Amino acid sequence: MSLPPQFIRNFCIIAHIDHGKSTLADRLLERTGTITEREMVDQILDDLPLERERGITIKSHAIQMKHMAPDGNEYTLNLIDTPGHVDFSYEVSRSLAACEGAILVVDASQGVEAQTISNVYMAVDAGLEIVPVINKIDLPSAMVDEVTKQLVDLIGCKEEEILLASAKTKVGIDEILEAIVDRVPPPAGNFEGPLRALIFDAKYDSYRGVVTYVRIVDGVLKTNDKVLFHKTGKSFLAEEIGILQMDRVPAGELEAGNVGYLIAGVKELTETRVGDTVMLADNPADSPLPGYREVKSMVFSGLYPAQSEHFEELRDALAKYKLNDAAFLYEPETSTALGFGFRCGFLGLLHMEIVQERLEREFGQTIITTVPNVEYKVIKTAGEVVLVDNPAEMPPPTQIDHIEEPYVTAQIICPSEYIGNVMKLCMDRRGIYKNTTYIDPKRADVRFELPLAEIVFDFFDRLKSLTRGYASFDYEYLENRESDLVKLDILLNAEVVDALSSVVHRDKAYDWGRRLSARLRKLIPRQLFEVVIQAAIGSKVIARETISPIRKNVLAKCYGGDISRKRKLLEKQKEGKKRMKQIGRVEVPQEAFLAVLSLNEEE
Amino acid sequence: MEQNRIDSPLGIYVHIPFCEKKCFYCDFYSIENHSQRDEFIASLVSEIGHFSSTHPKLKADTIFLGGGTPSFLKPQEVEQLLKALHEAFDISDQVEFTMECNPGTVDTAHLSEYRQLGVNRISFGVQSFFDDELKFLQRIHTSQEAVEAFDKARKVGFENINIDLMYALPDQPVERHLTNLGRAILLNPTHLSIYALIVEQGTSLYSAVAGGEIQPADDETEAAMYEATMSFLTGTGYTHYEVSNYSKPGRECRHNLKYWNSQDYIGFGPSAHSHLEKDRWWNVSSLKDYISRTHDKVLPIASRETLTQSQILDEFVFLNLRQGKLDLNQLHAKFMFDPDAEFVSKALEAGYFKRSDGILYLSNKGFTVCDEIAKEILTKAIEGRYLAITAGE
Repeated sequence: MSLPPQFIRNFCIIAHIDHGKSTLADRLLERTGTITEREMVDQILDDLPLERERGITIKSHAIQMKHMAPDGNEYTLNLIDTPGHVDFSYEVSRSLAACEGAILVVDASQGVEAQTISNVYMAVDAGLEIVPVINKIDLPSAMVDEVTKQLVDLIGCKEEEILLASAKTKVGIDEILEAIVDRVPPPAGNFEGPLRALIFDAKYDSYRGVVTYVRIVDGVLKTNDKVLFHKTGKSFLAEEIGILQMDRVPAGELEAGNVGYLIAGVKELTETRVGDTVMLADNPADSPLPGYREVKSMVFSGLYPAQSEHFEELRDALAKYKLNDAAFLYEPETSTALGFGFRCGFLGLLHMEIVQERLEREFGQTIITTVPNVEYKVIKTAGEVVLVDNPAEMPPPTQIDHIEEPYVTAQIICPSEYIGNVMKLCMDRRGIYKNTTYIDPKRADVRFELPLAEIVFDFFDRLKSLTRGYASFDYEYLENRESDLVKLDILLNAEVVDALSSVVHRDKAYDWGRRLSARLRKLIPRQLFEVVIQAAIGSKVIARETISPIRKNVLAKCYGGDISRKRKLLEKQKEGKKRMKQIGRVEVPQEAFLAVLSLNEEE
Repeated sequence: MEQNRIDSPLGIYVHIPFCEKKCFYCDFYSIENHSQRDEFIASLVSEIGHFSSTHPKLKADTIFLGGGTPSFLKPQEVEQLLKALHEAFDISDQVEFTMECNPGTVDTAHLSEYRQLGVNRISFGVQSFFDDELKFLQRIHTSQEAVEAFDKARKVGFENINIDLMYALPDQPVERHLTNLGRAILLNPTHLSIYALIVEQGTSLYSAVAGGEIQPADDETEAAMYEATMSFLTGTGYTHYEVSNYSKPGRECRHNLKYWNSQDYIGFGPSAHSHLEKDRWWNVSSLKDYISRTHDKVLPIASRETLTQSQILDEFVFLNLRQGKLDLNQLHAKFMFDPDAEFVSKALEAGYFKRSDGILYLSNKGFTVCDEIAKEILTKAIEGRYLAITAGE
């Protein structure tokens, strides 16, 4: 069945979190009859429970709709969903590369946000036609005029090109469908040439193995073709090819311009790479499509089972989880404080949170997470270069010539009255101010260069609270730069707790050590014996706190009726103690390992 | 277990749920409406009979009438109850027969009759010798009435008398508590129960604390008062034999010791708890339910449990520690359980207890954190040993 490209439209939706992307997607599916209202589970594209709860799409999906246009022709519309968060910007860029157009959804009451801007620029760079939509116009707080101006400034469109919609009340849906047909160009490409298909996403299916989502750029992909994944160099048999509707629908072939899936007996997600090019093994194209990039972990942390005997369980859970998240990296490590666990690499902080949460919820793991850190490049006096992704493994100061750390370019959009707060926060975080522009008279776009490590610690929450929740934030890796960094150790009763070590800038080390010790004093419960907390750089102690022994724990009355109750309380307390880590003679609650993250600037 | 415990005499507890007025800190089951007292006595007699039909003539050597306010019972009601108990149990001639008395509800005639009926130990809920403190606790008696009640009991021949006192009342200075202790020992009681005020859930006190109207004593104050109590009373000839209990030598409450030594006891009346070998059960709390169930010839049991070996171990450890000692040899022999040696030596060093012949003896400092020590011992055991017993279940 041949599908003429002039009747295909491939598009995505770009929106900030909560601006209504998922609801709009639902309306399009409903309006085109892809799914009936009755079948509709809210926000159907987000099928992970966590996605629904957080209102963000973690993994991109694709879905095909048929739309009968007023011109009397039936169009095939492929909606390629994109993740909304900066951590997944590479996946966004691959999704964009599979489209010719993008619907830009902006909340009428919120206006343009930082991530919207970065994603729009990515879309513009990718040559996509942008269809601007102001959503939620039914809200009493809608500021259609202001947002219209912002959009005109942002993408240089004409006011009349902006569509007004309310996905919730189903206003403007037809107009959006018309704009997709009229404004988004049909796919171009070499329909005759040797096959080139872009893998823009992949997921693991426990029955079929890896399912790759592809956009055919050149040529035709047929069932039983022998395909070659360019980057990995591996060949597979195309067992099943098809299009994506509510379920996978097998089709004999996919032609240039179309979007669909490919199942080729690939067992592990690592064997397919998002951004890679699928070719025919027997007739490979001369060159791959542009855009493959190795995923790079930016944030690292240790994951440990709360109870050491659950190490094997955690290992199995990580292996299973990894099947569905190629960007997540892990390897075994050992901590003297926490025992056997794993050092894990994440794309960013949100990615880290998602992984932890899914491990706990979907895999039933109780885990202890250490303070996240970035990867340091340590140049030793002997000239040797080592990458350190665990502060505990930092070489002794005498062996270090200098240390480099990753810097990012940060973009913060906030109401003008909060610029002072934002500036102060970024300066406190060793930021280098670059530029401020105004999106409109009330909203500023502030650019800084910041060490990534400074964002990892509680930056976003601080930003939100300093701007009453109005700021939005985006960042991008810039380069590694030399910094005056030191390793700060925490000692409990004179024993170094490796899992609490961190790398900080020398100027901040004293303040940091003092605050971290104070925080730990609050988090570690009083016990039978005194606990001394010390912060130290090398052998030099820079802060000290003492937790005095518990003063009273005895129930006054314990008669016939109290014994069972008392025993049950004891059983509960014993359970509680199991969630504590024993370091030397000190019991440390799990939260303590994340104490650094909750350090408040005011403390 | 090492012996057939049913053969050793058990304790009998009877719960009398009536009070003239509910004290606002009290979480025992009691009610101010006494209209059902006749049905209640009949229910008790029926429950006792019902129990003995399945467990005829078990030996008993302690009886404890608790409440509520047992002294609310008329002597003939006590007699009725006693008759039922004698029919159901084989009660020792050497029985310890305790009755809790509210100093505000006793008169000499009643006390004398109780004595005639065989009651040989009185426990007075004095709580304080300061009238403002009694008022705060919403007690119905005055300090003067408490002294008079004690004298009356002595006069009619009660020799073995306990006094209950409370401390760690909000804003109570240590001196006041010590004055209370002083007043108490002037009466020369054989036994003293000295309790820190506990804010129990479900009491009016709890609501007052939750609402911020009352600020309970802090841990430091409470611990200091507790330590002062221990040194004061042991210095004046009393033996400290349980967290809150002190007695003249040989005058320990034999009934309460059964609770703490995991011996058998049978409780009758609403909310009463029983323990027989590894089983424990407890009655419904509500008087109405209690009466209707016993009326229908159904045992008024709310719930029951059979203790597992690890639960028995838990209770053994914390109940022994509450009596100020833990015999490690016994612990090993009974449970194959040994506390973590490093913990023990560190706690010895810190002065929480002393060790002699494999027995740990709590210091006064140790008593203030007695439950914490139990928790530590039970969680810091050599894991393999502990797993061995739990796996054996």
